[in-house]
Formats: sequence, C-alpha cells, structure tokens
Amino acid sequence: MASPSHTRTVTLKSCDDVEFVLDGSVATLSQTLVSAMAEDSSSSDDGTFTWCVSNITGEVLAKVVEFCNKHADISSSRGEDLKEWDKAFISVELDLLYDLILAADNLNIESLLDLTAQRVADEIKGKMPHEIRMLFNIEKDFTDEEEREIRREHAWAYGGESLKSFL
Amino acid sequence: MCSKMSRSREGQELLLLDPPQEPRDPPPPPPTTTRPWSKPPLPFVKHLLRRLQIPDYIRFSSVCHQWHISKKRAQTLPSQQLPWLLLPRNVDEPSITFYSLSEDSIYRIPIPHIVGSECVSAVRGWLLFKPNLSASPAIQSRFILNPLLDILHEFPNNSLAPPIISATAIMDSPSPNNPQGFWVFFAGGRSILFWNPVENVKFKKVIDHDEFWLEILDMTAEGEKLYYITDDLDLFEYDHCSNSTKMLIQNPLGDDPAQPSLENNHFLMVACVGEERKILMAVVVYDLEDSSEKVKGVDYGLDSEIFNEMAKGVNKPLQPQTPSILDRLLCPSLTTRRWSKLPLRFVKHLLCRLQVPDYIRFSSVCHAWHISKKRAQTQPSQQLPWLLLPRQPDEPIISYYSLSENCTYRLRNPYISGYDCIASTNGWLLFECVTTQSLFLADPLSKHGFPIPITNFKQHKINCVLFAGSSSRATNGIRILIASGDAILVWDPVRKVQSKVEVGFNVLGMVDIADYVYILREDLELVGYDLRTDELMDFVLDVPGIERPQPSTENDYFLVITQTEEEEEEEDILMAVVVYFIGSDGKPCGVERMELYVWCDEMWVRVRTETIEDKVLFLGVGGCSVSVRAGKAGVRARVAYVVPERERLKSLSSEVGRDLKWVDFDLETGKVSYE
Repeated sequence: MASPSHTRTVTLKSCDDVEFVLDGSVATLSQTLVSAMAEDSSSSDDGTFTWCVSNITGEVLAKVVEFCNKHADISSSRGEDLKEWDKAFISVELDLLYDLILAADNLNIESLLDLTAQRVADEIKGKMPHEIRMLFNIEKDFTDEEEREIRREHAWAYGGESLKSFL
Repeated sequence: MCSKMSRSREGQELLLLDPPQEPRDPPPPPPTTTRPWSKPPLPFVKHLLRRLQIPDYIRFSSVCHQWHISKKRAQTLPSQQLPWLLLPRNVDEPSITFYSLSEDSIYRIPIPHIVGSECVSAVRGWLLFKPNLSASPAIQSRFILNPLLDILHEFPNNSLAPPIISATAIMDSPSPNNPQGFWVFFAGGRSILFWNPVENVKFKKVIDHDEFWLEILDMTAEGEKLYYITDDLDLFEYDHCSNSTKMLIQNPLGDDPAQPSLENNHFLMVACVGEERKILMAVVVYDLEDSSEKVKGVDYGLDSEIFNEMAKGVNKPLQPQTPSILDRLLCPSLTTRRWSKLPLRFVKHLLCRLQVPDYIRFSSVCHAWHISKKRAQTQPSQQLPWLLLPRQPDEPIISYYSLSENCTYRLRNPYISGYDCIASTNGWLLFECVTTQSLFLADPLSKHGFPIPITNFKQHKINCVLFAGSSSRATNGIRILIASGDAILVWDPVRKVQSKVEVGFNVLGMVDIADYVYILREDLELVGYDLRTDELMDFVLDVPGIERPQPSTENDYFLVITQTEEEEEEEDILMAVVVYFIGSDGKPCGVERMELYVWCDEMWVRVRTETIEDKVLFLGVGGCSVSVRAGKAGVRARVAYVVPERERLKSLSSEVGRDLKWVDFDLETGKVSYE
C-alpha cells in the first residue's frame, strides 16, 4: 500500500448522495473499506478516498458513522461505558435495525455485526417460530407437512415446560 | 323529556380512548329523520347505555350537548360487554392496548402510572398490576385498576399478597355505606386473598384440604359464592356469608389419560340458563408432538346439555398456528423490511449467539432461514449452563432446566434407558450401564454418542470426565479423560487407543485449554497433561507460543457448583472458581488460579485441602450435574443447583470482575430474590 490507511481521509457517499467524511483510522473498522483502500493507489496523493455505498441511505449511514466514530475512539472504547453506549445505540426500531444489518454486512464491520446479531438474538430468544414470523413480518412459506418434518428432528425444543411441572 | 333531576355526581370521568385511526368526522348527516333525536327521555337513555359497548358508550357523550348531559344524569354503566382482549405490552409503556371483538379494532388507552408495572390478571374490567422488579425496583405496590372508569385501588400491604396469582375473581358486595362495594379474590398457591378495596379490608385464607400439592387453578364468583377448582380438578364452593367451604364435585375426569395439567389452559365459568346455574370448565389441551390443540371440556354442572353443545363446537382439533386475522391485529407488524432475507455473514454472527433451543427453532421460521442456517455451518458458542434434572436410570428421557428461558426441556432418547448419567463435560454426558458398568458418552442435543471401551482400568467411582481438545486452539484431536480415584483413563476415540495415567492424588477436576489439560488434585496442586505427547507433566503456566497476558478483570471465571456425595443428611456445596488469562485472540490461554469454597453459614468460605476429603466431584453427579464453560470475557457465567428441600432453586451468577451474586427462586411462591 502506498500510504497507511489511517493517514487518509475517507468520504462515504450514501445512495441518496449524502456524504460523510471519516478519519482513516475510523474507516479501518470496515473490512470492505480496508480492502478497497488497499487496492486503490490512484488517489493516494491528495490523501482522500471516496467510496459509494449502494443500497444504504444517508439516515442509516449516519448511524453507521456514529458507531464507527465511537468504536474507533480509543479513549472511550473501554469497559462498561461502551457497553451502555452500544445498548442505547442498538435500541432502534426493527426497520432501522434491519438496515443496519445490511450496512454492517455491506461494509463488513465486525463489531456492528456482533452488536446487531446480539440484538436479534435477544429478540428471538424464547420465541416460537410463529412468534418470530409475526415479529419480523415473515410469511410462513412452509407447508404444514414441511414444518412438521423440520420440527420432528428436535421436537423437544418446541415444548418447554415450567420447572415446577417437573418438580 | 323527563324533567326529573337525578343527583349528579362527578369524579368518574372516563379516559379518552385513542383509536388507532385518525378521528373521523362524520359526513353531513342525511336527513333520514325529522324527529328531535337530541332529546331522548332519560329512562330510555338508561336502557340504551346499558346495552352499548364501551367505545360506543364513551362516544355517546360527544354526539351533542344533550346526550352528554343525559348520560351524566343516567348514571348507568354498560353491562353487556363482549370481552376485550388485553394485548401484550412492555412494562415501560405508559398505555394499555385492547382488541375489541365487537368492533374488530384496537384501542390504546394511555395510563401514565402503570409504567414499571405489569398486568398479571384481569377480571370483569379490572386489571391487577404488580411491579416488575427487574424493570423498576422503585415501584413496590400492587394495585387494581379499571381503565375505563379510571379508578385505581392500591393494595395496602404487599406482604399478604401472593407473588404469583393463579386466578382472580370479583364478587359484588354492595353494602348500605358502599353501594359500589366489591370483593376481589386472588388465588396464589394454596391461599386466597380477600380484599375489599372500597372499604379497604383484607385477609388471607389458606385453603387446606389435606392435599399436599393443592393449588387453585381457576375460580369464579357468582352471587355470594366463590367457586374454585384445584389442580386435581375438584370443584369447591366457598360461601362468603357463612365463611364455609365444601367440595362440590370430585374430579369428573377420573383417570382420563388426557387429564389436563397445570400447563394446559383452562377457564372456568358460571353459565346461567334460565333459572339453572351451571359451572363449566373448558380445558385446552395442547398436543406438543403434532403441535395441534384440542379442546377438552369438563362439566361440573348437573345437566351437561349446554356443555355438550359447547363442546361440539370446539372439540375438533384446531388448526395449528394458522395466522389469523386476529393474529395480524394482535401484533400489527412493526417492520416493513424483508427479514426473511438476511446476509449470510450476519446469520453466522447471529447463530453463534443463540441459545440451543432458539438455534433449533431458527430453522422452522421460513425456508430462507432454514437454508441460511445450513449454509452458515455455525454452532452456538455462548451457552448459559443447563441444569440436568434428576432422573431414574430406566427413564428414556433426559430433562434439562434452561436458566436463560426458565423452563425445562425433556429430551427423549430410548437408548439411555438402563443407563445412569454419572458425569458431564461441555454438553456431553457420560452414561454408565446399571448392569454391565459399560460407559458411553453422548451429546443429547446433537444426538451424537459413542461407547468408551474400558480395559486395563480398575474402576472406582468416577469423579469427573473431560471431553478435551475440542476447542479451536487444540491441534491434536480429542481425548476423553475419565478420572477415577487417583488415575485418569485417557481414550483417543479417533485412533482408538487408551492409556492410564497415575496422578498421585484423587482428581478433583479437569479443564482443557488448547493442547493442555489442567488437572486439579485433591492436594490442590495443578498438574498438566499434554495432549500432543500424551504425557503428564508438572504444571506449566507458560504455554509455549502463547504470550502470557497480565491477569486483569478481563479474565473469565469458570464456576462449578459441586455437592459432596449423598452422605447422611449433610450436604456440602462446594464451588471452584478458575480465573483464566485471556489471550490476545480473546480465548483462555492459561489458568491464573483455582479456588475452592464451601457454602457455610450463608456465606462462601474458602476451604483447605483436608476439609474436601475425597468427596468432591468437580462436575457434580446425582442431583447436580453441571458443566459450565465460560465464553469470552464479559460473558455471564451462571450455575444452578437444586437445594435438598426441592422447593427452592438457587442460582449463582457472576459477571467477570464482579462479585458473585445469589439468585434465589422460591418455587412455591415463584418469588425471585437477589442477594
């Protein structure tokens, strides 16, 4: 690489043409950007690098940038404070959560994938499939036979009982 | 118009209902009538109001000034309501939401002071709220609330109230002083709490019919009588006037195999047909195997005619989980995104975070999820421990208690019949044949299993077992280590070779980290076992090739609760805490220390070698088989065990760097308390 990525400035452009300027060190949270910057040698002179993110709106990208800035800031990236911050950050509506998942995947940001995955894991915890479908507005595309077949392998997981009933 | 003035009483202002739609201004009324409808006679208004559904009743006031006044004068409440369904709400929501069957629409009623409380029961328009301690520890009081009349009665003393309410009933009890007087009955466990909110009288009555596990399933009030069914399905009648109880009818189902139990849904109602009063109960029996529901009825009436009529309608199997219009209404979807399509990279992150039951159920949500799980090839890696519940060797079932979900799962496996579970390790269970003493190791979740041939191994009681080398850092395959007395049998299931290692002292416990097994001996010395050379060695902390970080609060704990063997009445509870070093890759790479504690006089006391003797089972057996594996730093480790009286469950929880905390579940009352 011509210059170390953290010395450069990265401009992220959303699909609706909203631009965000990131410090190079912040951009390294995104594996997609790291690879793209490594391949790109042309613009190393002026120290800026522009990347267009398709399918991510400015509103979502603003959240992603907020996340990256917080997580790249080493002085604040420690311990309980960051956990609390993450928790507040990810308490969003399901639509935005989904957009963040796509963005985290698109930009390949490990820590944001982790955080969104934890939120979804918390959402589906203890829920039966029909409840999950209802929550995420997913259509049941199994026939009853197909669903029965899938359930049969681990039928126990669909029938939790209270501990009291056991004792 | 009736000119007789009735005394107007203020104070029962109705809350505004906020229908989900925009308030619609009625179009200009077509001249369908020329009569002065704005001035209906008061007796008619009384009759009319009684017949209205609540929303109509409320909107009545806003038609015109005259209607508004005549409603105030009429002092009549609607009395013929179709039931409303209370929709789920989060405890921090300042409103409650109802589905009105009659209108097929949803109403949201804002009530700011229910924030932090959850609705636990409902009867005749009254809702019983109790504080949700985890959400808002500051709120303490219980109260009943009539959201439509906006009347709230706070329960004066919490100590009397049962923590879990299994049934609620209301009985009108007008007195000269309080024409609006009524009694509220809360059943919880074996007692009924009587409360007259208007006169603020309360007392508790313990129901004792010489039945050990008696519990009230449901109750209903009619006139001066309170009827309740117990969990053995006997029907009792309590006469509020004479304060006497009698059994009316004994369990009419007898030994019917489909006998409903606590988990089944049920409701009890009093139906009046002409002069005759009948008590009916319907029980919904869920068939978990084929996930269908069947409604089963129990008739406590003398004449079963109505009941049969009712049962005819409902006795057919219901369609399993067909998303109905009501379902849609109940949970209007909160998202417009295509959640069925998830990026594969995200699915991998998600799957490793799921608890095993959620992981399994993930497949049956939709085709796309089913396929992406297969593609992701990711196992869940951060499990909260499951507690293996006691079982008889001849049972073909293993029962687990899942701490994360607070429920038990029964796994059926015909092959374990005749085998005793004697130890556990990282999700694997070691079974011993009751008759032949042969061993096999099985993972009940993945259904994998293999026999362990034992030759050249004088078998004492097995102290512990370790499924070693399964971590991602291990380079040399897996080994099964079975510690018995002062020797360890090491078996390589791939190469099918076994060896015996003399440790010198009894083995208390074993932990594997990468290619090393750390063995805790009875003298509290740690020795190492190198999986690459299959040699016992002096304990070496500096694992070659791994940089040794400084101990810090980032270290993981490894908690194990053990019990000494069932010796007389004395049962000691021992705990080992292992503090790991975490390597730069976030994985444990060394043991900082192990400590042993005994629970004594309500506190943990660090123990010396001599008090442990040879009774310690690192991964307990008998009533307590626990296998815990700490994940990354920051992952909560929790261990549970059942204390001897079998009515309480204690759970020990710890977060990295924090003090240990006891969580105490009282199974009788359902109360959860934190130390």
